[in-house]
Amino acid sequence: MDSKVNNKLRLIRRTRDLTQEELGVALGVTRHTILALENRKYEPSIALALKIARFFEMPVEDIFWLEEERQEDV
Amino acid sequence: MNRMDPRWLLIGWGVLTLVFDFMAVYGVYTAQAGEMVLLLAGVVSLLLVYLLVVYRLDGITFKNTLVDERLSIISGKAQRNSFWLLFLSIWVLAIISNVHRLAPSLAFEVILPLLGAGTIIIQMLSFLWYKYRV
Repeated sequence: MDSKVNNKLRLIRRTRDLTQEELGVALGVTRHTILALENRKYEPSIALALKIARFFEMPVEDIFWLEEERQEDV
Repeated sequence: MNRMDPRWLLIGWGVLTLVFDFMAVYGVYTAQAGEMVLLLAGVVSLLLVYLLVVYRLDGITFKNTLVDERLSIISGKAQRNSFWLLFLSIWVLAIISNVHRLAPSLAFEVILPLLGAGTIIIQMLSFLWYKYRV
């Protein structure tokens, strides 16, 4: 089942010229978990979401958002 | 937090698998062990192959396997599925052996190892299903 939390992790990762493996090492997860996050097959815990935001030095809301929120914006 | 490096787990599992496989084949060859031990040898060998494949796929992040939050959740789900099989099988066995009085004709020395192996296989397959359904 697809996640109800959307994200632009893949876009940010590619912008920073990082591989899934490098990001996995930095966050303490496996490469496959990065893949699942990017494909919206897994919703991260609050701790992992904050870790990702801290790693990219961005607010967590700029990386993750609820699917329904963007639909309301449109 | 678990700080054990899974690469040591892989090496340890590999050594134990080789020893167990050798003992199983030798035991069956010399008729000191039943053929069922080959089934267990097959299961542990299968798990070693799986670990080697994951080691290859995950690269350096394989070291995070034991602390990865998603894998912990998946492991719990897989365990739940295999326990369902175990519980249901035990209930079916209990009903067959008690209600129909078939206990003496049931080959428990075959059924119980098969049940154990089946539980492990279901757990492994469930884990693979949840993990690679991305």
